[in-house]
Amino acid sequence: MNLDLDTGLYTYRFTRLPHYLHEQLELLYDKGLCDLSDVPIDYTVDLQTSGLFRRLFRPQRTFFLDSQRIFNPVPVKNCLPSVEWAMNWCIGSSDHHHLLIHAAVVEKKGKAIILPASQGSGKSTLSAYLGLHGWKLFSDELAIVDLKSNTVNPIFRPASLKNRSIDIIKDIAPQSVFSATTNGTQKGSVAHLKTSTFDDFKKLQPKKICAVISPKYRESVELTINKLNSVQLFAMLVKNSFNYSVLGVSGFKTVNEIVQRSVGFSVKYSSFEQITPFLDGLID
Amino acid sequence: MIATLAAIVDECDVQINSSYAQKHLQAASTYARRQEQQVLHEAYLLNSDLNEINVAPIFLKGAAYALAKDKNAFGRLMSDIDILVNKSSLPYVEKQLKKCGWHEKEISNYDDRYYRQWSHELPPFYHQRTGATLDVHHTLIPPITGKQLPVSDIVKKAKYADDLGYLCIEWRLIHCIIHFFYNEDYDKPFRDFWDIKCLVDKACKEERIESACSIAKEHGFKDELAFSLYLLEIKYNKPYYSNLALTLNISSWQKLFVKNILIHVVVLRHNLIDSKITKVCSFIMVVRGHLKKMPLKILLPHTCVKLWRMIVGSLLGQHHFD
Repeated sequence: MNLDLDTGLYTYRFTRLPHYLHEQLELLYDKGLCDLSDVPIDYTVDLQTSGLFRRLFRPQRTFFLDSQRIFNPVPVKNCLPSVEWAMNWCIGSSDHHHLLIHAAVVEKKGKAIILPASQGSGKSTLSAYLGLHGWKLFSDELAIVDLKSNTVNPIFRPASLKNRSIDIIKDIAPQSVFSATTNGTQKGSVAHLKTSTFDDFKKLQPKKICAVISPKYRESVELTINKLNSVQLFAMLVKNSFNYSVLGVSGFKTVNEIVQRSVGFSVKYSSFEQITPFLDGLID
Repeated sequence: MIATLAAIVDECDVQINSSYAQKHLQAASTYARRQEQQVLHEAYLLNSDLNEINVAPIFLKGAAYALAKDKNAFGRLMSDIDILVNKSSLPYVEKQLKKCGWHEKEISNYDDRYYRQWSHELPPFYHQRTGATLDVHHTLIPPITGKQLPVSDIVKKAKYADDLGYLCIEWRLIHCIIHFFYNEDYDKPFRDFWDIKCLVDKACKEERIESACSIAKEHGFKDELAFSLYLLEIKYNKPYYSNLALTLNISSWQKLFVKNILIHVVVLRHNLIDSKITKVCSFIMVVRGHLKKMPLKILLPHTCVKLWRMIVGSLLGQHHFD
């Protein structure tokens, strides 16, 4: 079964998608799932079935992009997170006309903040919370920065929550739209949270970056804010970029432009109530 | 091939109005430019590392095209770096590479034995820091074919760019043809064909094509060179073969092979556009490639092992052995 998906900046076609994923993707993407047969598709991801025996016993799917295997085989019941990761993989491996930074991006009052952080830092949980509390979630995984305007682009994707963060966000916003939770993935349990409708997403525009914040969640700590100097900020952006070295001079210029026009901080926090006033202060 | 297309579009100054096409061409082109820089950088490091043990590697395939500034190098993506060294220096080269951060890729014992007994190269290496992959060749064709190439002579005729050695145009062309016709898979046949076309054009322009014909005849690749030129003539409607027909005469049967089999192989491969005839003709070429590569007494057991792996793969999943 095939399915087309419009995420704004990129279009996808998934072929041989297991049937149960349709329901889940309809839940998360509403009008983003549409017939794109009249337009060229950016990425066609094929979920190939494994051998004859494995179709009957513990069935798996292997993800291919243009006949290239991008992931090891995944149990059919665990395919939803892999569909999301495959979309990220497509962007990270081939979109070299944007600077790509591993970061969440939130926007308010026309100003964007990017939140680069390593895995387990609470970046996705924080950005999901913000996306449900007055901020627009541009992306919870990728800051996609235009090389000419240096603005950051929104993409229509859900927030990806892992392990404890699933219950934390469900407790805060039980009425929100969540996908089913997939247990036993390489990152543990994973669920996706819808933070906007496709119609609302279409109203979003690329925005200038006003701040770069590296958040780190720690239990029972005081709010600790460290201002980064321009060298530290530059190094942090380069470290978290997927394609800085591919872009060469234009990558350098774009990172430099972000450094010149924004402020950088590393922040330790133990609750959303601690950090949100600080973030609000940055865009006022 | 998107980056190759981008290079051709750029060279021919073709106006592209589609923003969809523009963004993918530009992205592929950016990636290819960076890869070329990386390959040349790796080549300098490798050369310097091997010079320490008095070995001067000769770069092959993609790295050689980049060093020679061949037209097919523009936008050409490559998965590894290939070098040629004398067979006698292999143990020292292997030791030095390991000292300099290169590690052997994990392969099965069967594949390791295949490389070391029958192949023209060592099992592949990867660099722990850069992730680059390296193939170390000691000749240009598996010795199991029974063909002995004059490696010392090939090395003597090598050209140099900034102290980095690469095959001369005649051997670049012949090596490319060997790679195409003695192949075990036809996943990227159009890229190989584009390599052949650009190298033939360059050899013609530099008046080295007759010299390439002589070498091909001397070492048993006359038919393969003739097939390539005949195919180019059909595809591009230029007298590539006719100009050399006296030297490289092929029979009517061989012409039928080119017109009815080979022509369906040299196309872009993708699930969305693959036709049945392409798949059938590619399979014929794979069988032909294997038969050319190995005598039957080795090919048969080798095929049995691969067949067994295919059966297990079809039952338990094709990545069962990964």
